[in-house]
Amino acid sequence: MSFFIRKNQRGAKRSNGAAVTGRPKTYKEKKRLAHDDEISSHSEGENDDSRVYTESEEDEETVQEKRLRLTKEYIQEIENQERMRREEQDIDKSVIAHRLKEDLLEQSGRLRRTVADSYEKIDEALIRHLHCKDHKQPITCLTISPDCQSLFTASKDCTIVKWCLVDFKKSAVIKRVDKKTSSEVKGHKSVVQSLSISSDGKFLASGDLDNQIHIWDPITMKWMHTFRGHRAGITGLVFRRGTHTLYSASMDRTVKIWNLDEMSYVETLLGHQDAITSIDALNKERAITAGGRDNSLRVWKIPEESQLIFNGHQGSIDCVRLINEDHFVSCGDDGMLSLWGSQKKKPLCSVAGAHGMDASNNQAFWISSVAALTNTDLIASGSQDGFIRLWKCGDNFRTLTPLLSVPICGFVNSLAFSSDGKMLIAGLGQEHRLGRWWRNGSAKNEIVIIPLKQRETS
Amino acid sequence: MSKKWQVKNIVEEASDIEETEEEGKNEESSEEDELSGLDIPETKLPVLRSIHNERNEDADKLAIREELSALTFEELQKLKQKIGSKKFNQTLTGVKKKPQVKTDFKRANPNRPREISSKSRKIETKVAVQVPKVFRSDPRFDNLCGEFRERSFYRNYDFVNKMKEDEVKKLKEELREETQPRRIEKIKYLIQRMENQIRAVKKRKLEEEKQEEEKRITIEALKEGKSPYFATKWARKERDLKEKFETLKEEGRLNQYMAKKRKHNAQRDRRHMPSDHY
Repeated sequence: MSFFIRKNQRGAKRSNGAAVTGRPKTYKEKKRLAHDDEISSHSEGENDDSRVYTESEEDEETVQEKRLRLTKEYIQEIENQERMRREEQDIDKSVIAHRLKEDLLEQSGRLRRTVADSYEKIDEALIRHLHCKDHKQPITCLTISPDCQSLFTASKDCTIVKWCLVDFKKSAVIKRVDKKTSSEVKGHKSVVQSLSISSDGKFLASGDLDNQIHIWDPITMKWMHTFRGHRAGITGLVFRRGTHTLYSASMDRTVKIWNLDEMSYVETLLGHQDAITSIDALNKERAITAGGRDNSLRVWKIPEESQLIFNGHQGSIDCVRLINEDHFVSCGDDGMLSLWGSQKKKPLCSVAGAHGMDASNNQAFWISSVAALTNTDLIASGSQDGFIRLWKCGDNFRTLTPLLSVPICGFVNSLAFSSDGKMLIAGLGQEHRLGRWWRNGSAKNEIVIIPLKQRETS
Repeated sequence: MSKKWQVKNIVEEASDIEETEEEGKNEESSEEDELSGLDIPETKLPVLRSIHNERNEDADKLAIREELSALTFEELQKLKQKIGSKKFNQTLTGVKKKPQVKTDFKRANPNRPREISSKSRKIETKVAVQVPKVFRSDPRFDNLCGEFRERSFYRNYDFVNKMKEDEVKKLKEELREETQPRRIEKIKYLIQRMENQIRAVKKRKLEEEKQEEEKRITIEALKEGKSPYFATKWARKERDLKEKFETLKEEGRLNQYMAKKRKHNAQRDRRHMPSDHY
């Protein structure tokens, strides 16, 4: 029935007796015709035109139907996820819309969530301390697996320990290796200063001061490969999210890119004037590095083979973390905590003496580590003054306001947020991770897990 | 060269060559540097090397492919590891540089971060820690030091001579107590030297005094209206001799001095005497 209706609509505008062979067939039409074995018999004249039109319309319908089907499936999946999260039977439509929007923003790197204000004061009784005999010396670095099930830590006694974050117990150890151990047993000979895990949890990379990068399988903790090529100790490692590309920063002032699919070296990036102290990356093919005493932060645009130079800080820049694709936070041994935007060469906001003044030498406490909850406005910083401070980035990243402080004992050598924002994990030590300028005898070399709780907003 | 040797030393050689590269060579294309570190014999990659050496843009893709096919798999892997997989793939496919690579770094406004290439090995001239450059200047040729005036120089540094005299006394005391022969030698040498210097200073001072005397006389003469007195060389010599004579007489060394002088003059005269040599 509809066939005829359509014909009338079309037929009213068309001139009589015109041939339709000149009209180019759409790609989908051609495809469909190719697939069909029986060729529909065209008759010259009126019917032909309408026939062709209807066929194309039917084509589009199927494509649209396909799209519709796919989106329905996607929405169904999101609904299921949301249902699992909220344990409700009826899902609010707006929630789905919100979620879709978030996903889109996250993909394009423009997601911003303001959650800092929703965090409650931390209950100190719930803080967990993890010790083990393989970490007798200060913890230097740590990394959390993307599914928040396991934690990997490394310390100055050249060991790497895997912890389970469900029952908070040690799962596996990679022990220290020296001249006497056989070459089949793999491990690190010198202090491990950097750890990183890929976003799909398939590779764990660890770099030490002996110019070696070891790649391990995080599930079985078996050695996979060693990358040699750096000329000095490796101070930073990071995987590009969603890929198997590893960026390594070293004290030889270079950044090297490694491809773990082929286990090969890709290229070197040059430019820093002093040993690189820290590196970070998100989803884009970019890395940001902090250059220590050359007072520069460099954003490396890898496909374009260029670098952007940001200037700031007065002392050495010790740590840099990306908050989102356009903003990052850095800390230094001048006691300053700085917020940066990718459009300005100087910091957007700086807090001098963020962790107070050291009474013994009348200088600001060195801020040794900083962590940022990705795509939000929450930052954590750690130093030796006995507190881990949480900050809120406000007013389009132009202000930093202190939010909470957690009392801990010792040097905070490493900080990391879990990806769901429920935990803040700190690696503590009696000494700074880079040297022994001070030693806090009353502190313990341990890992501290701070549970973060958000206020329920109805 | 055996293959075994090549395999063992490839990384070491490469790293050695890399070191020399970094030590102050001018900026060259990084391709060139990286290929030079390889331990594949010269004959094996003529076209590839010529590309990198001459930077010839129109390289024959087929020729490269042929060369690369002639290499063993091991050598290929080494090549790839050395120059990096990105460059290796580019060479294979013949793509020189991706169109994404930026060459013009101009920023929208001066507040934006500065952009430079990430591949150049140049060291930036603005170094993080500024060490002040030391400029040394020779006072003899430096205009700021002015002209040298002997009189004022001696007057200013006269105190050193006083210190010398004190030190000679101390050294003599040390000499009395010293037992090591080498040290004794040294002290003796020093004492001799210092005493010579002191004597020379005294002599110079005497000369100065005499000159001042002469000047005083002429000035007085002028004041009184008489014509000025200028001493001739011979007059000065005569006066010096007289003074010497007087001092020697006082000290009682006159005879000794005269005997020596006589002997010396005799020697000199004897030269002019006819000799019985022939």
